[in-house]
Amino acid sequence: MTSRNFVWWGIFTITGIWLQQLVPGVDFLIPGLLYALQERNIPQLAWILPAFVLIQEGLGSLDFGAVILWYLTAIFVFMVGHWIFQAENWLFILMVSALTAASHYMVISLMCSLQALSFDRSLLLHDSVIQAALIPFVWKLASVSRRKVRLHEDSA
Amino acid sequence: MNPKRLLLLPALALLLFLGIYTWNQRTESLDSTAMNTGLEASGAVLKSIQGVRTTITEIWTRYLDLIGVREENELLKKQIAELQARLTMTTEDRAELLRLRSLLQLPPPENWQALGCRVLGRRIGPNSPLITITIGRGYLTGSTPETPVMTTAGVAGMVLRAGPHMSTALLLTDPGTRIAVITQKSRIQGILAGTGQFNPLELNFIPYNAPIESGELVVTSGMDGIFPKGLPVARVSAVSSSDLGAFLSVQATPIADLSTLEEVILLVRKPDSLLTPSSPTDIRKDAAAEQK
Repeated sequence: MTSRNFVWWGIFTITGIWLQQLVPGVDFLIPGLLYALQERNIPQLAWILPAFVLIQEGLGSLDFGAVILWYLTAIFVFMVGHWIFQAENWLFILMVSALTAASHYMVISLMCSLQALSFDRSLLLHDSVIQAALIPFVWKLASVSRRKVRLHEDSA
Repeated sequence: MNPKRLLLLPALALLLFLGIYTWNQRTESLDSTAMNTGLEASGAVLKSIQGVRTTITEIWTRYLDLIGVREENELLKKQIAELQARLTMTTEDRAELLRLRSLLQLPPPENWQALGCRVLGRRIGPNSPLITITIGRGYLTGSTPETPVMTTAGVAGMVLRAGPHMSTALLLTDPGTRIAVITQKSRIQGILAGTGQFNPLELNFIPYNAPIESGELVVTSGMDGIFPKGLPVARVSAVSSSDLGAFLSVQATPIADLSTLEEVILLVRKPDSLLTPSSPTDIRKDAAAEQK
């Protein structure tokens, strides 16, 4: 991995954490994970996934596990979608975003029930809807800004 | 990809997840790892961003945004002259007020210490369905789970999870919050519960014939062993008869403004106030001394 690539992921992560501070209850890092899946770079995915999981689990208010389960669901949705559509297709991106956000609602509800926690369902639904609307834009922004890094990597 | 493989992989992943989840529920190792790494790293990022934002705001307000400063300066000079005249007139009143206040002042909660800290964000990330804030103190700097969190107005919540230098605190409005309280005037004990971010609090287990009134102050009773007694928490906003018969349905509004928290106060027990558990050797020595 080139240092330029590493710096890009560092900036993406820091910006994501900052945006999460501004928009409560929403994940700005998952579009990066989906983009990493699109790139099919396994060594890159091998450090991005645990790093994102640790950040989100650490920042959250539930016991460890919810983010892992949600990210696994998102990866599964991505793989199934990729089996049917092309990864650059807008329909594919919208479908993955909607299903990922829906799975966010289900996974968090499930984990709260498992941990016997009462929570505000309408607030969670609100977060999931924002999440669904947000993923395609961050995904697109990430892919546009990433193009330069990839060009540099390919030429190297 | 082969459809069989596509189904087998998630099944294996789910099994692995269940194993890890169960193991973590017993040991809490992964929870503490996430708090010590993820929360700390994110906290460092958030603190740095807040520092940069404060610096930029200060530079802007002190040096760049100087429109109308001359007019404002003259107005302020006038106001200072007026205030100085008023201050001279009220010096005697103030001295009397201080004397009376010292007579009436209640002692601060015994064996408790107040620590200030910044609020870095609220409900950060997708794993935050509970109504929480992230604060800039951790177990190394005085914040441990169940530490009371306050504003200058009243109780805001309590610490839920703590990393080394960062913590997550549960606010009063979260549906999982329960605080043992007492009404200040009618001295009726109850349990104050949150019902959601934009909903009023519920004061539960208030007897049907209790003389509770709208506008009455609700303070902590100290019965939960978490909050010291007498901290203002909420004000009764509505009282009506409940369908359950034996109890009144009482709603309350938090005293602290929970929507605009920037700094909070943590109430920490002083170390010497904690009961230190005795070791078996100490117990034996004590028993022997008692026999003698």
